[in-house]
Amino acid sequence: MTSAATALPRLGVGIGWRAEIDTVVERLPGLDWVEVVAENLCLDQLRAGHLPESLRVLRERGVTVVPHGVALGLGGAELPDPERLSRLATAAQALDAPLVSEHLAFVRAGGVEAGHLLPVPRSRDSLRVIAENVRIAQQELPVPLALENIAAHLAWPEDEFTEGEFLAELVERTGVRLLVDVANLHTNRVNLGLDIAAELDRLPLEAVAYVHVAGGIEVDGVWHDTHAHPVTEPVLEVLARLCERALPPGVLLERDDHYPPPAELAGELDAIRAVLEGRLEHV
Amino acid sequence: MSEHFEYLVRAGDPELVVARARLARRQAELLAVLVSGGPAPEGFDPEQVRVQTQGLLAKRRDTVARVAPEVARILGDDYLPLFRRYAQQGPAVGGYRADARAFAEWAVDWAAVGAPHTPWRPALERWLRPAEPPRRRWRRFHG
Repeated sequence: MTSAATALPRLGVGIGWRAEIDTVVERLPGLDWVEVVAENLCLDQLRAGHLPESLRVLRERGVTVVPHGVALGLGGAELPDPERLSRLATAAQALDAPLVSEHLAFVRAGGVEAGHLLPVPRSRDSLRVIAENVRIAQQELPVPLALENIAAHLAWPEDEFTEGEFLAELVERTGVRLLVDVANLHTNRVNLGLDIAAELDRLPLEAVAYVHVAGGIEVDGVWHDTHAHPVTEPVLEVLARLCERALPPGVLLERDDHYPPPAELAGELDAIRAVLEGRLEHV
Repeated sequence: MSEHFEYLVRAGDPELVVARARLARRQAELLAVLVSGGPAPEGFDPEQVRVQTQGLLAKRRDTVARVAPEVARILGDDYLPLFRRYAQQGPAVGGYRADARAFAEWAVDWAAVGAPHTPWRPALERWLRPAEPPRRRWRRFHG
């Protein structure tokens, strides 16, 4: 079901599960849910009913696991690849996930893999193409799909919409849910001059499934959304501005490298909880 | 693939087919520049394209260093500048592990020509082609 009428599950506060920190994640106090990168799961194992041991332990404890795709490229010109969609669907089923997420991005073109998420031209032309891609994905997936805004370093000359307006159009046309990455909004504020308050007003916040929070670093006036640095206050402030408008059903901390001691990760989760409770603390 | 998917693929709306072709061309133009260099496509801010190019390179370089940490360790301070030169040869083919191997092969060849006495070359060659374990002499041939 993908209609807007379907209630969005309450996810709570979670963290991106990574094999390098699996035992740390298992021991984080008060963890409600985790996200797992769909491309990192072994499809044959999933089909045979086997989960990575740590995810099995978490599932047994009732921790929700949401597959997060990074290589589908729904913003690409080609029809979504049935095999990649099947991987997401299989992961959702094996993990008993309430939803899956992907990005509003293209990741390959002309036979070349970008290895990264790239912004799409936000024109009426590409809106029709991407809306069809989203509909196809929704048909193939057993659970609702949420689309994430990305961190970009460039804008297309074709752009007729902001990313928020474009996502709102996609919600309107397809009923897709949103994954709002507040670190990416901050990235686009620093790098492309995005007005975050205006962008939050443009996003249909009732469609938000959950929110991503991550750390990064500013070098020579450019914000790098590294997921390898601590979460900074400007990013938590964006989360606070979003929460003032509508409390999201879930928030997830992404950390992909240079893992800090477990207490530091737990502290970042506490800082997120504080923002959800209306208290913006220094991290 | 569900029947619905097949239906959508077959019953392509002609306008949408044209829109897809246009989008494909534009995305391919931009991506070619981002992965292999060259002037920014028309209408783009050259500085933004430069920063995005650096972003793609950094993502590739750091991911290769993560999946093959030995290569980055062996090359030490030469890792970053050499990876930059290597990446200019073209986009990655295959996954990041394949990219790491291709980079190591390229670095060994580069050293053979330009820096034959560089201290990391033997170690990188050993990483690429570890000595095969000695064969057990008593293994019998089963014909």
